[in-house]
Amino acid sequence: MNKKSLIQKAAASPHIVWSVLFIIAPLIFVMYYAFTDKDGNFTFSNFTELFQASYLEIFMRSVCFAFLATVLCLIIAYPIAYFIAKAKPKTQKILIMLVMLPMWMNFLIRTYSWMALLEDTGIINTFLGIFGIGPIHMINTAGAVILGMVYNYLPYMIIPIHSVLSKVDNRLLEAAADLGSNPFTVITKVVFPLSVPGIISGITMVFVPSISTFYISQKLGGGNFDLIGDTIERQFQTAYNYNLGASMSFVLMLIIIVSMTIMNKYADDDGGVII
Amino acid sequence: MKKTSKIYTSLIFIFLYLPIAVLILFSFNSSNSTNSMAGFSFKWYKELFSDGATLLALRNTLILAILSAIIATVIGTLAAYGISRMKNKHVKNTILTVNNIPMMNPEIVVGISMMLLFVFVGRMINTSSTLGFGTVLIAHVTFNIPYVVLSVMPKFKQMDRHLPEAALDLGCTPFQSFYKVEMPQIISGVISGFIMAFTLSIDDFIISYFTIGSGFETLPIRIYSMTKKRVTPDMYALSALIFLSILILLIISNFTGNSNTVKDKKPVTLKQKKTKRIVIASTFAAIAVITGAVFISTATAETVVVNVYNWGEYISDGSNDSYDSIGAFEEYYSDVLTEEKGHKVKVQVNYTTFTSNEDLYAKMKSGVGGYDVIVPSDYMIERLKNEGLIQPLDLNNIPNYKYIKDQFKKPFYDNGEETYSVMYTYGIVGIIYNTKYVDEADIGGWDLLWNNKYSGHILQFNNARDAFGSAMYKLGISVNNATETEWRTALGELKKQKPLVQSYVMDEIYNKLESEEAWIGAYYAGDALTMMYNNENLAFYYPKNQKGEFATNIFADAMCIPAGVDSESKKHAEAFINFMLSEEAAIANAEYIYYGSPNSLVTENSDYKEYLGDDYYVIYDPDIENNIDTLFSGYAYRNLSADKLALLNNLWEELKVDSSSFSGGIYIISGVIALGITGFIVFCYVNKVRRRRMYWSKNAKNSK
Amino acid sequence: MNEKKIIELKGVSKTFDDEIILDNIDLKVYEKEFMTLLGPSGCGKTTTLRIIAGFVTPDNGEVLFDDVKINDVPPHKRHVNTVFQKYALFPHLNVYENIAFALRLKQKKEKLSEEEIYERVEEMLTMVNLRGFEKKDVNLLSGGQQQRVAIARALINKPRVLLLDEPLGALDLKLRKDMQNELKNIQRRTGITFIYVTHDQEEALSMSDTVVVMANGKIQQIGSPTDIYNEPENAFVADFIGESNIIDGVMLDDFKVRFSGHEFECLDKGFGKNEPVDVVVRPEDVDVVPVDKGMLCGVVDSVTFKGVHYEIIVTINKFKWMIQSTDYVAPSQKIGIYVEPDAIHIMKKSEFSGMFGDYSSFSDELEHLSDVTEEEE
Repeated sequence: MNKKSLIQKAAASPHIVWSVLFIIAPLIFVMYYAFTDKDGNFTFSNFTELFQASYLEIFMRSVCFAFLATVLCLIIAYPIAYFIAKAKPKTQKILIMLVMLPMWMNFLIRTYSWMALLEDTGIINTFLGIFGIGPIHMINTAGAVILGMVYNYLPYMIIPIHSVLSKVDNRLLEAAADLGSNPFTVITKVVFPLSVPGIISGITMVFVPSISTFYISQKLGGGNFDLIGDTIERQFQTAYNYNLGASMSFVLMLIIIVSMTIMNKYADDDGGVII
Repeated sequence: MKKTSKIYTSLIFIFLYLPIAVLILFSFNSSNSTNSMAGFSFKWYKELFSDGATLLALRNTLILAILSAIIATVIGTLAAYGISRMKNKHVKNTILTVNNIPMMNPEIVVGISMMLLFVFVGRMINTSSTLGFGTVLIAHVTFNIPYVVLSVMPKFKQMDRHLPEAALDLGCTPFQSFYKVEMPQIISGVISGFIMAFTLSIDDFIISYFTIGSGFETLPIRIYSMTKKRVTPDMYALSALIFLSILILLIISNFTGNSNTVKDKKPVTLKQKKTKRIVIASTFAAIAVITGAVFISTATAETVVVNVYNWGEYISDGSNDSYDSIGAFEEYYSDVLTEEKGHKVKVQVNYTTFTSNEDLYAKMKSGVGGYDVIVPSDYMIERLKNEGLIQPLDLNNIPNYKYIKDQFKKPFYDNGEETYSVMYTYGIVGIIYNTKYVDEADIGGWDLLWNNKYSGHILQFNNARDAFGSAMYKLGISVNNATETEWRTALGELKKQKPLVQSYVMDEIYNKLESEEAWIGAYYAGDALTMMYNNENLAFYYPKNQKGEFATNIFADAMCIPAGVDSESKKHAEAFINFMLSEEAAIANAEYIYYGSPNSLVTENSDYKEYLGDDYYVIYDPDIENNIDTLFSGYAYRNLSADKLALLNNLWEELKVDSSSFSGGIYIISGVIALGITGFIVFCYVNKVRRRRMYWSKNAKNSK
Repeated sequence: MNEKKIIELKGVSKTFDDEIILDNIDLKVYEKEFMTLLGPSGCGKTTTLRIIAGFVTPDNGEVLFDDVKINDVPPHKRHVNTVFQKYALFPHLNVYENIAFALRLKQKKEKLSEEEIYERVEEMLTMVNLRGFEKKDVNLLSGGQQQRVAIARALINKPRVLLLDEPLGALDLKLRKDMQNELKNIQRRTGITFIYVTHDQEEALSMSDTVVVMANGKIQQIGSPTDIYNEPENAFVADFIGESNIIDGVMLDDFKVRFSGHEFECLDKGFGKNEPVDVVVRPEDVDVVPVDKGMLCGVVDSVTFKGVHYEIIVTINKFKWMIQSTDYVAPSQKIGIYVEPDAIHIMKKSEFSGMFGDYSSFSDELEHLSDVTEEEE
């Protein structure tokens, strides 16, 4: 038994060592850079610099864009996840496969091809032009950036919601109808509360990448809508200000941790809040 | 499904597949545009298979994905076993929390945190090439492990603890018990963990972007550097092929996989089991073959590697039937070395690209490059030299240096005793405009970039120095000796311009101007000619400042060798530089890049003159040719002092984040929605508490 | 039970995927009745229930409620409530809110105050003996407690008819007996019509006013428990309800039947002369007598002690009889048997004749096993 438990303990040790070296240590370095200046002296100046109006605006904007993208994803994804969950098992499998398929394509190139669609001389406007509409200015607007986020992360919202919905016991829906729920209240009082865990994980999976993206805003926003991700990337790749970049990353992590904690607190109630 | 739901579902799928349809469509485009269809052709598919760099990137991506997935699967499976058998809840939860960090943390933070670690370690052990294949591999394994752990853990949890005991009881040895009983229980989790890791790794861009170094380029990284400029349709062709193969794979797996749904509980037939096994076996066989092939192909004779870091699309690389100067060098130099050493030597050039001098500087400064030859611009060379980041060249190893014309031999940025650089190209910034939309009366000066009439169709540099340069040339401020107030004046000018600007671009300018998406932009003369060749409505001029004087940037890019390169590698690097100065390579590059060449072998070549035609006199404007020294001293960017640089960076940040009225509406909408949601939650919560209070209070009474 | 008719099914049929589930069912349910739909799995009893609840729309036929056709009335507008198999409690709600669910739905429309809801829920909780469980998480309750919540939840709306779909299926034997009594009490107290679906014949016999035996999508017999037991209409019913020896026979004349090579007196009449029939003799109605006094005689195959009695298997004329007797006989012993005329029940031949072979006692589990082996072929 002793020997066996030794093996069991040893089994996890490569993972533990790896985690310490490549998960924890790097985060310590982020903190280290965030709280030091270029010469390695302790300072808060990286954070005070972030309180300039311009950076605050970037943070605000990123939070708003990510928030809107998440809300839109939820609104779009919920019905489709529901419809898919209602379909026959075989159809369901195919539809879910189709939802996931785009994620296998490189996201850079998919975002890039949105440019061809949205430009003033792009495909959509050319198409509308046939009917004498437009051109509608779409690219390089806030809307285009949010569209890019919604497009890229929509499957991350559909899949968790679908997987919860498809597991909802049909008899619960019958029970609700039996007790007097009309089709609408069946959804609001039973289906929706039961799918809250899926919604929560969908929100997480959309919000986190949306708030930290740096490619979508550059391509679809024309460099006019810098987000946290763009700013961090610039600090590391061109401006060569690791310390400022690290402090931004630190704040970004804080924003995410705080918003996730708030959300999970509500989620702990298991959607009971809504009822 | 009802009708409305069918319509809705179809709409969403159209949304999801629209961009993919677009890229598949354009992969058949007969021109190289990615936003207007000229005709149908397969040429990009042909092109793809002759594009060595892309195929190499594809191969690298596969190696990386397979290796990282295997390592992550081994570590992750062991960890899942260990963790699931752990008794101490506290330790268990801590490990799982740490395990989740790479999944929950934004990718960019994971990327930069690892980069900081690698840079730090690199400095400690004082190496010039920390980042590379090893670091990306570590990064990929790191973000893969959590997914493996998460997909294997439940299998261990579900497994009946008595199963191994039952196996032992029935006469299995412990090994047999693991192999015959435990293994089949967890194998599905292990496989799905492996597949997930493999997929994530293939698709990863952000984390690779921060942890990748010289000599190793993955497909997403290559796509990224291409999208900074122009994605050629062969990339679309590759994507279309990838899409198709995944689609086929999924269809096969869907039809062979037993559809054991609740509805049709048909038993798995032996045949189905067999096909399933064949599919799994062949998948693994394919993976094994690819890995094997890769290892065999990399493990050949002695290999000399030269890492070259150049601007994107800045060398004649064999595409479109052009001369492949890298391949030619590899061939030529391996012959030279083989003869010299008396045994077979293979020369391999790892060619990677950057998009700005600042990118390059960041890489050099962090000591993560591992490059042997770099091609920075004038002011950056001055800066790198001052900071000791490049080393003097041994001109004895570069005999072709003699062909560089005298006026380019001691440029302002490198006019000391030692020679640090060999000029590669030079060029002048001009303004490109579309004659269809722009009034001829408005042209001539930098003012055109500030002209209200063309609001929303103007492009500005997405690069601090050039963007500020445009404002400063316009205002007649010295780009090198400006005071802080003058810098701020320039910022004011740029802020004024911002509402008119369509977007801030670098190489994306090609597409935007050629497609007539934008009408006006400043860029380099050679590039302007390329654009004019693709769209005949475009025209070009060298701009003047408000006083009517000729005022624009002139630049030179030159080949240098970083300080950390050892003497052996330096010799190879110099051989590379020398080769690039030889007639055939130099002419091919000059024809490909379309910038001015300082090489007399080029400028005096009659074929080259014929090739350029009238353009020859745009590029080699006699006025410029004769006054190159004065031009360089008057208009080229010089290295700025540290505080001016910091100021420039700050002002650039200020410009970039300045957004007078852009997002106001967004804030209001977000605010309203957020308020709505909060209100709703509070309402529900209050309601719930109100309801519950009833039976809480009554119950309390009753129990008393 | 000649009270007011509440539900009536007229010629109801239902087909799923070309498989006939219900074949022309006619059924009347009266007020305050405890009716049980009894049959093996796949006989259509649950589908019948679901048609009444409104989850399934019949292909043909009419569903009448108070003589009004309700075929197209959705479930939430019907005055019936259901206790589901495995309960279907809402996992996101606690006990109190689960029970209050139906009231919450009409809280606004009927202006129910929190007090009223509280009173009603408490009343229900009292009825099912769950006072004090209000705040409990339903997922943490035991099977019996969940069962009670499900019943309370379904009854709070005061439905005219309560449908119970194998509600006790998941409980262990002891608990099941208790719950049977409790259900019966609740039914008596509330006076609500219960339609109860089960495959357990003992449950059906002990609880119901009326038992409906179903097989192959058809109703085989409707009647009181005693009728069903004593006067089975065909071999299927005889076999399914209790244990029985079903033997081929010939009706010689009124009150005269011949089987196993012997002529018996019986109490049945009205069959044709020399009409082939199925004869049912319940094992407890057979007396063991010495060989010379026996009407039939045979050799004992086996004897099993069952507590109250011995179960004796005797082969007579190649047919294995089951006999329950308080007297012990030794295996291989030759014995005689004696059957009273009133213990002999004659049935017309039906599609089920000859299906059951020797003595038979229906076993659901065995049936499942045979299903599985068929599937694996």
